[in-house]
Amino acid sequence: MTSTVITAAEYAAAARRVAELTRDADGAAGGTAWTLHDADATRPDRVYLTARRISPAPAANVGAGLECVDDDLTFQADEVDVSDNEPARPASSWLQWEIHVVYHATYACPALYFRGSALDGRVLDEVAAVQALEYMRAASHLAAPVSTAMGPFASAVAAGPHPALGTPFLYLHPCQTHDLLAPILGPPGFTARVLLAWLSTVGAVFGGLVSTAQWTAVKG
Amino acid sequence: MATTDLASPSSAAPAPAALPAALSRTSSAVAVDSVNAPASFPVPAVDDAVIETVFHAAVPLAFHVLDAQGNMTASPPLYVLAPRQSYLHAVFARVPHAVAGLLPRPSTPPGDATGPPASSAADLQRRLVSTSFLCDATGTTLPWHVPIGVLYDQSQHPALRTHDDASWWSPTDGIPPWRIRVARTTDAPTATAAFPFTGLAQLESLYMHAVKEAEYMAFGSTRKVMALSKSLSEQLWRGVMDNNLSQVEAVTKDLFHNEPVARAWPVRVHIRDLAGTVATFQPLLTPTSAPEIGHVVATAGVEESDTSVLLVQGIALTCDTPMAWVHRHLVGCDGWVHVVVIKQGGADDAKTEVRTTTD
Repeated sequence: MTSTVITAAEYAAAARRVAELTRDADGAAGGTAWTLHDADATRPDRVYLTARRISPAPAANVGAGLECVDDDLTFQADEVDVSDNEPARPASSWLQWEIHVVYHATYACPALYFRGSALDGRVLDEVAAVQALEYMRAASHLAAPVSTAMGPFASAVAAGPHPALGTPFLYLHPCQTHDLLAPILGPPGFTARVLLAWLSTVGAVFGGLVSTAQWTAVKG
Repeated sequence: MATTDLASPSSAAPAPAALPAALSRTSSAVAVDSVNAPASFPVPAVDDAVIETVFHAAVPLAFHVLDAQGNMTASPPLYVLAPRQSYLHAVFARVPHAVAGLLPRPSTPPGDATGPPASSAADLQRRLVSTSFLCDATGTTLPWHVPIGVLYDQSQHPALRTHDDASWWSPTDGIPPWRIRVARTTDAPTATAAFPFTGLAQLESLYMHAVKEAEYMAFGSTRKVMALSKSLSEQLWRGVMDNNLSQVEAVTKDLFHNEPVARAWPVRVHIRDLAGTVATFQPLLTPTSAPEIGHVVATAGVEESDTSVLLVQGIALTCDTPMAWVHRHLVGCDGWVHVVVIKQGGADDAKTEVRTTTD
């Protein structure tokens, strides 16, 4: 297995750059806006990015399709104009996701942590969250090669303590992240561009987290 | 007063299944001994008595049930000697006949903690899901995914006890139980709350992922854990729940101790400051860069000159304790060495420090 150590400092620098690039995106055509959290400057391993997404809940959207919104097939669920497709859904048919990009100290690579909840705040348990993600993936135009290679989607999702917060979250297991990054990780190391490349792959489970505009804005 | 001792190994447990040849390193691998081991990494002599004593160590807990107003009831608490390697919900699941009457009923309003005994295993599971545990001293919710021994060292270890003229405590006075309040989890936890406990299957999943991480940390590969059969994984978890050393060691010995640590020590440092806040660090340290436990805690910012107590499995260690010995004898069932550092404000002449003996 390829072993490519990404240091916490490299990751922190890339995360800060991504936060700068996406500061004004806020779910518009520019893509996902990421908020940087770095309360302790002496702990680069505690730097993490957060974003929020909205998606339809599986039980409320049976049979309805979801449209892609740009040429790169980057689907953003919160941009779908549901009024053109179907009647407005009640609040119970939507889910909100809190997505974190953190540095995983054990695997020495970035990892995607997340937590889903109903709009009334009820947190989804592991089974319900996986079902919701499977629904999103099935409804998306994107065929995520990484998730397919890892086998059944449920086996890629695990529960564990958030590296920075300490509270249990769900996360996409990062054991194969190094294999994923090996072809694109060369000099000058783990940059914002590499972080966005990783996000564009793992973010497929949420319908895509990187837009064309963000790609072109990254200069390394 | 009901007292339950969960620390005794089960004498009725079946003999642990032998590992398949693919996982067994004894026949094909180079034997790890003082002749073949690298000169820079001396392999410690294994003291089975220490391993057994540490594994079967238990801490005294006293579970108190809250009334509708959130106050402790007049009912006698449930006293339990809980294995350090286990988890709070797992402890309750082991003694359903004793605790079922204490567990909240999902259908009752929050704050109404008691209910009739569980009528089935499924009923017990439902009640476990709606149960959380609060540390009586601080009122904070105890994380359900952290081993009991680690939680105990962070908040109740005797090293934390202070002395004054009115209440002088010495090691000969005995150790009072850690008082934990059994509370009803709210019906609708908010998105900012900790991830909810959904059942023992989730706890088992979290535990196995911790084992996988520990293997990756130590060897840079999760091959052995991924190759474990379902029966072996279940045997391992059952051994943790039942505090059965032979069942656990049959699996973990080949996972973690058949070869020296190659990548980094699987260690987590939990530092408790004077205010009682605990911060966890996970340094990436190779055996050559950190041969002693003092090097590990120094990376986490603890200076040797600090008046701190280093605890591993509840045992106070000195900074020059070899990490190889610590990893072999004091590693937890999850494959991690949990070091709890208790920072103290100044020298405490009455505190007794237990020194370990190493080979």
